Amino acid sequence: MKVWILLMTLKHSEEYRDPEIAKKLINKIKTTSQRPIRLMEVCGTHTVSIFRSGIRSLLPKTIALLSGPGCPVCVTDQREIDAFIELARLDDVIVTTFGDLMRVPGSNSSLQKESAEGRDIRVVYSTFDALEVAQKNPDKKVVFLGVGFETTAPTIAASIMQAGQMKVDNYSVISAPKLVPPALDTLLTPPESA
Amino acid sequence: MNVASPNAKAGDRIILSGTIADHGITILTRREGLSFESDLTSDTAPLNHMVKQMFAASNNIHVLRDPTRGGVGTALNEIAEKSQVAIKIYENTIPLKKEVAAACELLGFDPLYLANEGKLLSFVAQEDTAAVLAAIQANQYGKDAAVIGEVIADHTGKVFMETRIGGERLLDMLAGEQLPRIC
Repeated sequence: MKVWILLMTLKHSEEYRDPEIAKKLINKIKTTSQRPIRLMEVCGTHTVSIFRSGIRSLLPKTIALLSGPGCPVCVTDQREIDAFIELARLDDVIVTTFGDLMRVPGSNSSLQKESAEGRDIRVVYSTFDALEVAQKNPDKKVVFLGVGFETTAPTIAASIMQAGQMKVDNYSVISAPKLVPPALDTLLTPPESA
Repeated sequence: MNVASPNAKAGDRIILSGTIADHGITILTRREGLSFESDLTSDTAPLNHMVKQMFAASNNIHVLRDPTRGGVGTALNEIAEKSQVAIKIYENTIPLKKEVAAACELLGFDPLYLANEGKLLSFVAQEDTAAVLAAIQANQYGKDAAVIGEVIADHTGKVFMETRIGGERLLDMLAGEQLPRIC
């Protein structure tokens, strides 16, 4: 990825942080907001953005922000985490993962702990980086821990397609993505009918 | 002159000698598994001459710190805690290269917690701020120096930041290392 792509990313995200636009919107929210309202963000990226921009401190008391249903990592089953850890303990396996999973505790350990004990666990920034690890290590089995929501699943699938096209046969994915709608259904169902 | 961390005083201005997180992002981009290229280099630099110039400009430098591992955020927290004061900084004053900002954005990193090598933080009595800032900027490694905040007479040991959109955020200590996130 070249720097100009990064700079485009920046330009795009900077537009959302224009102090003048933000000020106008906050004033509008303050004058419009009458009754108490609760807003829930979906995932961790939203939570971090709200925190980093200090949005809570700008909103009127009528607006409460709630976090949840969470991130795909936080809702990953402990059995799956244990399976990831067992995979990492195999001698001929390199585990590749997004950074979020490293600290999540399994029953007795975490990927971070396993990494500290010398297992080959590599944090990657995209599934294609995981595929590259497979290409560079043909004598090892490279497994990507396929955790994510609907938005991440296609990029994981694309890496499998790419591996097929490139005839990389030591790359595999342990599939553990999560769906958002069932979580929203549960949240939106009144307690008495749940 | 004692410039250890417990010496920050209410009213001090905080000067940062240049752009943050250059070193942290440079190291990351050299690591295997990260697929972007950039011309960034580490900011490793000798600061002895800069410090000498600063001391020549003022007798009222209260704290000097290198915001290395843990970045500016962690260094400020340590100073606030040891000096038993509160610190307020302003996001729009913090020098940050565009490439570094973009990389942080993409990877989900907070540049305030990424390592620096050739930078220093100084806490200076308000009346000497302009003189010390000029001394730093006169040095080849301090051209991007800026006043980024001030010390507040509040014994909480906390660090706050006014964000670019005018909100307020607590800058906490970094726990463990920053990891790139998907969610």
